[in-house]
Amino acid sequence: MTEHISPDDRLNELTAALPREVAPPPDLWTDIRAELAPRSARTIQWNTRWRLAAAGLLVAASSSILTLFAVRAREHAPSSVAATPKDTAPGAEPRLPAHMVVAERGYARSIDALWRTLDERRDSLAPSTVATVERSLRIADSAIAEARSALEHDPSNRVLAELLVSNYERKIDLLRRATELAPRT
Amino acid sequence: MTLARVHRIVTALVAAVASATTLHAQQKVHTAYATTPEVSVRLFASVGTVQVIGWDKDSVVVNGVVASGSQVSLGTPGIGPTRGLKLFIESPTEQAVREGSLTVRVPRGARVWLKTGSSDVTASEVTGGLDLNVVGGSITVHGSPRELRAESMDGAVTIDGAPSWMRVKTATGDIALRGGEDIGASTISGTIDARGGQVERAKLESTTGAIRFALGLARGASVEMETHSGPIDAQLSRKTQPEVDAATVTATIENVWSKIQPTPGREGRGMSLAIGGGQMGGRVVLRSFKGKITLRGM
Repeated sequence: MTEHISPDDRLNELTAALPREVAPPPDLWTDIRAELAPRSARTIQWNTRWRLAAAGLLVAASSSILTLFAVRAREHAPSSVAATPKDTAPGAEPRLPAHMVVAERGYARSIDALWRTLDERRDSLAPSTVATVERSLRIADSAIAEARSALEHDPSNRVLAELLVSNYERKIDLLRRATELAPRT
Repeated sequence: MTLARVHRIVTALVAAVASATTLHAQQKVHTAYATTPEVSVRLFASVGTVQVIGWDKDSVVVNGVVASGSQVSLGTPGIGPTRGLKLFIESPTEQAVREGSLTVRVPRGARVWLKTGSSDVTASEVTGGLDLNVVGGSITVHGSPRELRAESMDGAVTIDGAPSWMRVKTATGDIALRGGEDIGASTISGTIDARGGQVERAKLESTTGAIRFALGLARGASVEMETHSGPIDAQLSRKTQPEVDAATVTATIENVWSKIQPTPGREGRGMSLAIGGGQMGGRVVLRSFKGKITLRGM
């Protein structure tokens, strides 16, 4: 007896044979991560204070957009918009690549907004928590300053640009988490 | 009766009175709810320890003691199984927090959101979702929830299962994990120790903390490790032959995993190392500003 296979059965068979998931090429992960970043902002909805939620969402969204912008700009722009050390005339000021300058402005806005929120809530946080946050922020700032200075002197260095972006993202994430802490923690 | 014996008796009496006073200053908490198997539980608890245990019953049971005077809001059990619960316990003072402890039993497939101040949190046998947020305490997760988010400011986070999706963040706390499908771990100055299991996708990053990686790589795995100044110690299997792309800005790279040696960077600062891999051996990317990168065999 011949077994009849309907088109639906055939389709099911073919789809079942597909891999459960296909990982994108590793090179795309940076972009994908930047696109997915707003997902983490969903946790903000649990915060009962609407101002914090609104500020958090704004910061998370702008941070993600800036990261995306920075990464894309880095990939599509010439290797360095700013002069590299080799091209720089003797005595010229070291400076960041243009895409990083733009990204930094956005990071600065996000950081300022989060700092203001954190300052408003500082009295409701346990002193030990404030100390931990401040100590960690100093470490983050020190790393940012070091990477930034190095990138100014070597603006075409992609590894440096990636490290600087990551340092900013970790700092912003730390600030965001600090602002979401419950009172009397 | 010797003086020493009298002293011991008096000491014992004082201890007994003190213990009774402590017990008196606590109140018991007990409540139970019929729930769906995938109930969402949101718990804010400022107590000393919280245990979340998954079990095979479609019910949530909360047991424990909290400091007297605590604000306790545990809702009212309804007639039918509930799909969502909100539980709230807040101690009257910062000092009283340590006195409380809670055990929360939930269906294994539950989704649990827990926020505490300085609690030590342990979760076990939950296969649904866990979202654990602690400021000063530690987080320990046994088992492999489908989704896990664990954040602690300065407490340690230990994950001894292999969640499908996991994001762990600390500021100063150390992170220990054993693999999973999709892993993200980030810290400022804590260490990250990943060993004992296998991974498909991972991103491990620190600012100053050390990163130690000794996980097996699944076929086609993608692993990124990044630090500003912490050392990275990556142990890789010689069988899987992943592609390796390592670069530092000022630090050295030591490769004792294969025979290919790193090349010095421009102007003699920093190093880079590129090793081609097998077709499905996966890819490992290592980035460091000034933390030494070491590649070793496993």
